[in-house]
Amino acid sequence: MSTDHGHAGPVAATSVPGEPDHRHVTAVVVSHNGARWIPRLLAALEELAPLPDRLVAVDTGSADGSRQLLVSALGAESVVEAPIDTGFGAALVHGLAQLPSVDVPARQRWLWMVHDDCAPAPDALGELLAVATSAPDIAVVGPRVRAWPRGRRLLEVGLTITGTGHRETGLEPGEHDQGQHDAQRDVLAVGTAGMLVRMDVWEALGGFDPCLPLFRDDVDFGWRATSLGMRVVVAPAAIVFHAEAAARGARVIHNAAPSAHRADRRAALYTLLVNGSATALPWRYLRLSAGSLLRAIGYLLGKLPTAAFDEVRAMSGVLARPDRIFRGRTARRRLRLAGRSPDHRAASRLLPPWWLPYAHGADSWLGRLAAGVRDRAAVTSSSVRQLRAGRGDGSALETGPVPEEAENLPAGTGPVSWLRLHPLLAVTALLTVLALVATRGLHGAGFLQGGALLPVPGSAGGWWQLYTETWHPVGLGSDAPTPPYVVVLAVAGTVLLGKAWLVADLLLLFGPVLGAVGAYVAARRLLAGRALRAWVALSYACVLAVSGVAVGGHVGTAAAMVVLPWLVRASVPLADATPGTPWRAAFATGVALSLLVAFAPLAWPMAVAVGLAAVVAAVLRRRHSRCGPLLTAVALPAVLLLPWSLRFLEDPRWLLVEAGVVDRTALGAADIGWRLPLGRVGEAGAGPWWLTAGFALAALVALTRSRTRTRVAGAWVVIAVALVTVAVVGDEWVSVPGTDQLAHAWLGFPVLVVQAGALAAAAFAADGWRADVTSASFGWRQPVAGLTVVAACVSTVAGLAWWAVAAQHGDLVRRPATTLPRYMTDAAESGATKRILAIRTDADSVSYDLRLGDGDRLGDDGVLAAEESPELTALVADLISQGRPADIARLADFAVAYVVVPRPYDAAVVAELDAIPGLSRASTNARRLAGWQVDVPTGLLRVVGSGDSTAAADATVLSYHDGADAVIASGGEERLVLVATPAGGTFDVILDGASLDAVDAGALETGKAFALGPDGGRLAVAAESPRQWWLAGQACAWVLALVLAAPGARRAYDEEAVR
Amino acid sequence: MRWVRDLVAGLAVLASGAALVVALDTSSERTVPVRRSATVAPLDATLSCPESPVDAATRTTVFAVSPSPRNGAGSLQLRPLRAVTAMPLATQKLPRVPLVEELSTADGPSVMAVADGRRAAGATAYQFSVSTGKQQSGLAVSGCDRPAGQWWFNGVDTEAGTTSRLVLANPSPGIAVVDVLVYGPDGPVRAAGSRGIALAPMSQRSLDLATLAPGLGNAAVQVRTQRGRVVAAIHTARIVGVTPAGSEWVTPATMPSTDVVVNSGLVGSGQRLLVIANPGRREALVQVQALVESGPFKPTALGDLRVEPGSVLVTDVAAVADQASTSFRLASTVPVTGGVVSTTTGSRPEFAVSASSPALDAPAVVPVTSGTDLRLCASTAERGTGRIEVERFGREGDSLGSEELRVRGGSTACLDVEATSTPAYVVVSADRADAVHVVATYTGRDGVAAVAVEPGVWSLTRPAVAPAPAG
Repeated sequence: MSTDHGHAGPVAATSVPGEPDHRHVTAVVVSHNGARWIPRLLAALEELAPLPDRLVAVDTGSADGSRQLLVSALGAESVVEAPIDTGFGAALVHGLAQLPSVDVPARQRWLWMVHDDCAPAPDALGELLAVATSAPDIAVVGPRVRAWPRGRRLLEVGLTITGTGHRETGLEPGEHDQGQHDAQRDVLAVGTAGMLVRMDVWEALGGFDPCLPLFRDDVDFGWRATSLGMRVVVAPAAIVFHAEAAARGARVIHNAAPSAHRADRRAALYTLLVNGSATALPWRYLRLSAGSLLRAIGYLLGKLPTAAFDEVRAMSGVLARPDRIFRGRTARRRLRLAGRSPDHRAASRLLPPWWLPYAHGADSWLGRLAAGVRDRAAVTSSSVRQLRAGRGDGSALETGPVPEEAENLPAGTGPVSWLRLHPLLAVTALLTVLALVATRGLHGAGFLQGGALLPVPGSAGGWWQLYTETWHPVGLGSDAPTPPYVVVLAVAGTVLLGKAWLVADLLLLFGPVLGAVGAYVAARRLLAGRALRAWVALSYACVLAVSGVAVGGHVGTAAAMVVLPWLVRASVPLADATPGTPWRAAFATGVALSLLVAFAPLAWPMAVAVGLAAVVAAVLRRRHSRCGPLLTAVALPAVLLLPWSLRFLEDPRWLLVEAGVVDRTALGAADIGWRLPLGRVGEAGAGPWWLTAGFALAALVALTRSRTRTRVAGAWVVIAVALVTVAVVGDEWVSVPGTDQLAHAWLGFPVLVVQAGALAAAAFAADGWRADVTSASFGWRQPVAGLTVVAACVSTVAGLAWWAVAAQHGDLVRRPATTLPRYMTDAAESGATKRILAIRTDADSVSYDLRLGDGDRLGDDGVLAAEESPELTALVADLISQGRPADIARLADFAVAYVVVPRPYDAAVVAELDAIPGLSRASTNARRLAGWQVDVPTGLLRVVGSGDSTAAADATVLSYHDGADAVIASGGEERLVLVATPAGGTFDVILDGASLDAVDAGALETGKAFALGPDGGRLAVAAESPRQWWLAGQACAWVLALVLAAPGARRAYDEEAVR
Repeated sequence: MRWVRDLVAGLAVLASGAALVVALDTSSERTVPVRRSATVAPLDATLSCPESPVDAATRTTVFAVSPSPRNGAGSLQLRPLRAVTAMPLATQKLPRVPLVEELSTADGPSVMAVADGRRAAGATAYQFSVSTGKQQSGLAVSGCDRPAGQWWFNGVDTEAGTTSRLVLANPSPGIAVVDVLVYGPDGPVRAAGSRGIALAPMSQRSLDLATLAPGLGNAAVQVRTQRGRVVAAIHTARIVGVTPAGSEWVTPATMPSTDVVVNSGLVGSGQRLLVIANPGRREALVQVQALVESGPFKPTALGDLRVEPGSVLVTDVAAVADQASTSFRLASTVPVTGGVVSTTTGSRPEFAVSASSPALDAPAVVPVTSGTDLRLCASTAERGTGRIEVERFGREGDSLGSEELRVRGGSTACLDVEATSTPAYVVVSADRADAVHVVATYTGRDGVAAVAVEPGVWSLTRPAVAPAPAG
């Protein structure tokens, strides 16, 4: 059954038997479905010099003819069979067992392991033996392993294992063998492909661990040998070419786990846990558990669910079986070699530092990122060069397809040509300059505000806090779910280094620029001509600029129009004819639509209508695979925007309220009149109607071109949906939060969608129109097309020129967020959380607002209480008509610490407030406002002696910041804890672990009251809401949607290289 | 499938057009509830009397009453103008029953009437002082007023022989800061120390106007608060040679207006000076119309009067207003205020200053004191006949009957209140709000005095209040 190479040709065997330095080598080839590589292995074995003394092949149930190949080359007696699930170590043992014993001391017998997918160089065995016999403590020798079949790419020059279980070769990815690893060195282990092991050590260690049937058996073996004082050495002169077929998934493994990855991870975890010192074991357990979970999450993010599943299964298979670990460690502890017991210190010096896997991870990620950018740049520039060369002399060879960006490139090298070669950059630069000119006077210190725009918070942290807190201390207090646009702003602000003001500036002052960039990017997927794309981008910016939306402070519409082109871009695969089911595009569209709906909820029913129209079209065109993705895309906002989206079920009228405050000056559709289809909504600061008339004309003329009518019809469907939306909601009214006022629903978004649809229709029809016009005989089409193009271009130029030169700033101003004295706002925002009551007497009727800190900020508009507080209204009326001392306690019940009356004011009101005992004049800038301080302790959270208003003067104010935790002393029997939140919110008040009961005190109209009683202790107050769970669920949903929308990660295994 | 896309395109265009037509055609108005101001009963009332002189030669009596017939919780108290904890001088909880309290020296320097609850509506107080000394003599009657942010006085004299004191009272718990502006014939008088006069809570302060603007005859004085509200009054005492020629509280005038009605004041012969103050920055062209019993006429001697900006014009109207039942209507191109300074001659010279009076848009209380005759003169500058009802009440608040006085449009009519039934006070009400102006004249052995009858505060306007929308 074995092959004795003593007679195999002119090359002598490893030594002459009977001599003192006789070294007897037994080679064992293990084969499993390796027919693709065995012929080359056999050829390599034939060329070996010296040859092994004996060679046996073990085939583990191959089904691809491997055994036949081995038998035909080695003879049937040299090939033994083993069950299909036999591991590598077991196969070695099985092969050795079939060989007759030889009369050579075990110290001089060597076992050489050969994989069926490797090919040793002719002198490999000789070099291995030379190193093996160079020192008496060398027990294991490994070759320099290079890529199959004869590559110079290095695969292994010795091995170790990182703290995360990865095989560490010490090589750079793709590192070529240039002689840099020629020095012989000690390592922790060497790979089994070509490993030469002294037989006495092999026997003392009991061979490979049967628990490591395929992977990490080499590392484990080397680790054990090193622990027993033996050396594992690399012989760089010995070269073996290795396909690594199992590790690369190039063949199915039957003897380990269902997947190579799972087997690899299971082996890695096992190896780390059974070796090493016992004291480090708990730490290793923790590290490997957390690492495996993180790795699984990473695989999920990379859309490799199978790998994630393997990771989790491997982790559970090893970490959840401590008995196996215990047995493995016990077996290793009992190992003895020449009387020596294991010493972990010997092996630990050969382990890499703990941070190495993380450094590798970062290297890998950055490298891939850089490579991606570099590859794209290289492809583009190469294509541009090719095209230039082709146009320049007509002699350049066509070398293949060029990317979209390289089409229609003009020739030339001057700055003008450079700009024409980079139209997106040129459009962005031009519009940025125009925006800077158009918004002159709106830059500088202060906060952008006015119209529907509230000042932004001081930093993005304000938005994060607003979004995550359960109860909002704004106005009268609110537990309304924060609208999701707040978290979008928070993310944007965080990306902009926390500068919230920059978010508002970008959206409202540079919104046309951002919109144009998106429009150009979207046009790349839809239009072939570069000039046409640039026109679309400029015209889109023109539409936004002349609409007056930005100068009206309509941040919702402004942001939605920035997102809209990206939604279009994402949804293109849903409408094209590419085979397959575009699930990725569905999720990308859904994510973009969710962002859009977050700012402009009215976009949702519009998208549903367009989506249903697309589903009908898909059914008619027998593209049923499109229906699921389309429906998924339009349904996704309902999930991603929970729980906020539930309010639409409660009252569909919420769809009419977009980001920002409700515009009380908004006009109905009939009031806007015929300017409506031209993109005007009656805003102050909007451009003349005729500026965009060219776009509407072009959209109508676009219908006449037959070749592009399908896409133009699609654009008109969008226009129709937008106009129907305007017709439906154009006469609707929405309530102004916190008041009994009504305002017309804001029509900005659907009106601008009409214009965007007109642009799309015109652009679709213009795509390739020049060729059609010039090729056709002269008729009515040529002059009509020419005039339309002129009209559309004039509209764009005139609109942008008007924007830069003549546009007014409308309601938009930049000024300090508040005119209140700093000490008041600081006190209001302090731990006591006090409020400031501002009474305005400049209008026909007296109005008031309750502020916390320096007033409402962008985002607060979405959570302000919907209803007014009749008690507060009555209190204000009492204060300014005949204020009495009892009103001070009422003010304290609302946590009002200051009362201010901004100028211009009614002197009688100021005098009336002056006369109220308990209100002391506060220091203010008299040219701006008059102010008073409430002379009783007040704050959001108070402990009072009783529900009687007379107890207000003796109240104890507790600090509150997203909850309270304070130690209070004992006191009277009738003590109450008052939470001044008249507009809603559920609170848990706990004293020393016991919840306090809410009571029906007289103060309940201004908040909540809880019976405290005489006992003191630790008092904890927290808003009660399931919002944290909603947020967690929402975060998971967004991560999942983004993962599904993102391009998939490349698999780690490159099968092509193996072939 | 070309027909499908053409059909879709056509339908889309048709739908767009139809939607546009529908959108532009639909318009509706939503009725938003309009908040209106409400009229409510006052919860309390503080009436501060001017300085209450009490000494060997001067006797001061304070009269206060809550004329509202409604029973209920509440009280009317007389208190010294001191800290809130000061004990009341007198308390009355019954409706319509007056408090009449002669002050002692311990009650000074001034008192105030404080009403709350049901007694606050219409609460009224007056102060009567009779001086028989060498420095000053005569009857001085003054209303006790609510604190206000602005006060106007006309006919203020700071010439030699005359002593005019501005008395400022702050009956509220907060600090008040006051500016005093003086307008003379030559324009505004820049007086050092006239701005930023601070008054502590519950305090009173007296200023000699001669220190601010000496040597002015018939000046106009404006008191306005920078902060808080005060009660202001000006007391003038005259001496002719060494003989006291009367002491009087200058009646506060209404706010400057383009249409002002001024009663001529005292009965009897003597000097009658019409004082017109124009505090504005533009010249005032004032037309003077005399409202006498027989009807209105325009005195040819007066013609159109021009009053320089920020100055006072003094015109002798003795020829026109030598009878008590004469009033003047001043129709001006810019807001002005006015008054009539009446001087009687004889063995006991006396003077009185009447001022533009407010229209009687709510019932007013006028006290009746023993030893003096009360005459009520009502004027109306409007067309149509006004009717004044004068109901007499006794000391126990019982009604003693009523009388009626009819005033033809553009005329003045007077009524002598019968003293036979010794009423304690009368309640005067007019049927035409904003049209009838009433002046009460007291004549007795101690002298004469005239006060404008001010409507009581029976209700307050509670303004419409609404929460402001965000932003």
